[in-house]
Amino acid sequence: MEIFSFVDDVKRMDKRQAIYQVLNFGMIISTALMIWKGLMVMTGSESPIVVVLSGSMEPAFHRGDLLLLTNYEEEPIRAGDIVVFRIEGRDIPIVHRVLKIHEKNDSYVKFLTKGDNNQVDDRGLYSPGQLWLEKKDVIGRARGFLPYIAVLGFFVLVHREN
Amino acid sequence: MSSSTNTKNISSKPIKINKWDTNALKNALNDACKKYFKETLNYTEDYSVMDRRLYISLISCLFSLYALIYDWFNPFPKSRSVLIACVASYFIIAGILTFYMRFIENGRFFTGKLIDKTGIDPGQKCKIISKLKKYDDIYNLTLEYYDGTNTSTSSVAVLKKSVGNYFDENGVLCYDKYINDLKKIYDQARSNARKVK
Repeated sequence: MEIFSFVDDVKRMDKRQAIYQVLNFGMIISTALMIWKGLMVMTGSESPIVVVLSGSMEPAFHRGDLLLLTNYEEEPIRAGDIVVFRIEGRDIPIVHRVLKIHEKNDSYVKFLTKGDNNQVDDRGLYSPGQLWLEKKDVIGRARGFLPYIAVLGFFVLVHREN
Repeated sequence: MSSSTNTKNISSKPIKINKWDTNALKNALNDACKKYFKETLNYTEDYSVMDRRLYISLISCLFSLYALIYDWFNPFPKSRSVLIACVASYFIIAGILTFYMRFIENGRFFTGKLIDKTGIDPGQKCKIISKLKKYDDIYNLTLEYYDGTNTSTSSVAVLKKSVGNYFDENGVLCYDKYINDLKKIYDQARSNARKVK
């Protein structure tokens, strides 16, 4: 009975070993957490890795791809950049391309986005009455990309042929 | 203490482990050795080495917990400097912990003191280190014996045997066989120390 042998192991552990196991587990979780926070600080973005959720940027990005984002203040957003933004009041990050920019001398920017694979620009997605996005809505610009389902899809294809 | 009677009941059953898992083998042998020293030879265990390791782990976990909570209440751009400080400290402390476990603790799993009840002898100390490499079957047990508080009178005894000597086909620990070998090296260490004296 495999389960009961585990219980025996736990009972044999004295208090210190039990604390050590708990702390070990805590260290594993903390390492993952600290790596994530470290990435956040390094890239300047509150969510440095996002998953593409829709097919609105095909053929560039497909559903399930991973994107690495950076959000540096010194690099201004320009038309043609792929940005990941969040509409105020909604949780889902959207990955689209910047179409138009209005920029003032004090570097206050407003921009309009559109998905490559969409027919119309994103004004339909913005909040009612909102016509432009601002810097504060942006999570970051896509800097790196990891094709994800593509790899799995390849494996599925090969497996099916067998 | 009720917990000690509990362990007595559990440990009176022969310990059975997965004989292919070297970690379980090492832990079973270490636990049996500790049991022998504590129950039969009446050593009291000194927990300071392990406690220090636990404190270092605890501090590093506290740093990461603090970072998590601070970031939760002050979303990202505001918490930047706190995060940098916490991440850096966390990795430094984790580095210290690795250093501590590798070089200072180095496989030592038991530090014990034997206090003489008559109060005449200043008491003996024992430090036991065990090593079992990942896919190896040779269990190295090093016993450092210090007679009295004068640490210059010390002797070292080593037990190097295959774990196959102590575990049977089903992974059950043959406690008596192991204790025999332990007793041999312990007596050897003690007599060596006396000779030096």
